[in-house]
Amino acid sequence: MGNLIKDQMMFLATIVVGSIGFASILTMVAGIASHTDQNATLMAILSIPLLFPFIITLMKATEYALFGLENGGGFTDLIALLMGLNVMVIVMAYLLFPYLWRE
Amino acid sequence: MKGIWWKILAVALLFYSFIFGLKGDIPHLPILRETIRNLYFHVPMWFAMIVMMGASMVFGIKHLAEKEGKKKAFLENDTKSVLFATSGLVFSVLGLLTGMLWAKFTWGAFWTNDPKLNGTAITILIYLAYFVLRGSIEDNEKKAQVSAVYNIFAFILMIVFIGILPRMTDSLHPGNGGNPAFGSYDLDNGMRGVFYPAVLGWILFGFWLTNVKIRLKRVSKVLDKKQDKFYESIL
Repeated sequence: MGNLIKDQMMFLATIVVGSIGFASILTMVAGIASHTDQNATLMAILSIPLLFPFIITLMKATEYALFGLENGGGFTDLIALLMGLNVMVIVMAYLLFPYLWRE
Repeated sequence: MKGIWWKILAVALLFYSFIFGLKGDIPHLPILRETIRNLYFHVPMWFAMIVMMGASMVFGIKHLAEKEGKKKAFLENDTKSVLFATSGLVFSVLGLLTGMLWAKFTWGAFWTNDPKLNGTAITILIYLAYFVLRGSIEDNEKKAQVSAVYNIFAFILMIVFIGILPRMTDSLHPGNGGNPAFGSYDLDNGMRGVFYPAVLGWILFGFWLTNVKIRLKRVSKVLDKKQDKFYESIL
């Protein structure tokens, strides 16, 4: 089979951006869910709608990376958007966490 | 009768948009034909939804920023926040239903895999999750605190999901994925004159609806307290 990925750097960029996004969103949601009694179930309920659009965008970026399509800068736009989203999530989490832990 | 003028304005604007929306002149376009009148009903729902959910987030922020005290103990801002979220949910369901009817007659199916439709489904899921979260915490103060945090977090992400992401991909909706926006070629000035009042009318109606619910909740809270006192006095 060999390596199916056409563009290694694009794939790596997608993985990095995707992992940061998953980690940041899920950490925040886990913080929220930890205040409840059934936090494992609630974590899924709270995080799925927030992760779903993120996953769709990541899938698109992965498609570009797998088939090596540049598509007139479409890939860079997607990565920039996902990076922006990550920064936003992290900033929001930074601002909101103190309220989550204050008893 | 303080504050009645905007309720009268809401009723007047809604009746104006009903009458002129159904009877007024419209541009005759292929495929869209008379369904273009749905613009006066479908699109204002989304404006109203965003405003209601925005108000819900603002009251969430107010609740978090509030100093400890009697007002905070009564959870006034938290109550407003939840009730605005329920109103937003009502508008999103109405927007989805009117949109599905419109899609059936122009695109040929009730549901297409359009990014905007997915965005709406996600919005509804986010707010349902918000109510599940509220339902699963016993302590009222903790519930208010945690759900306000989720509300702020979810609202800002939702704006990105329904405002920015659909514009990056192909969509059947106007103004997305390279399609021209509604205003650029088929929304003539005659339609604008009905569309903007309709938007304002529905937003005011949303505030009115929520206002009534807030007042009802306040009354029921006071009654609950009185009932508690009554039981204490007889026991």
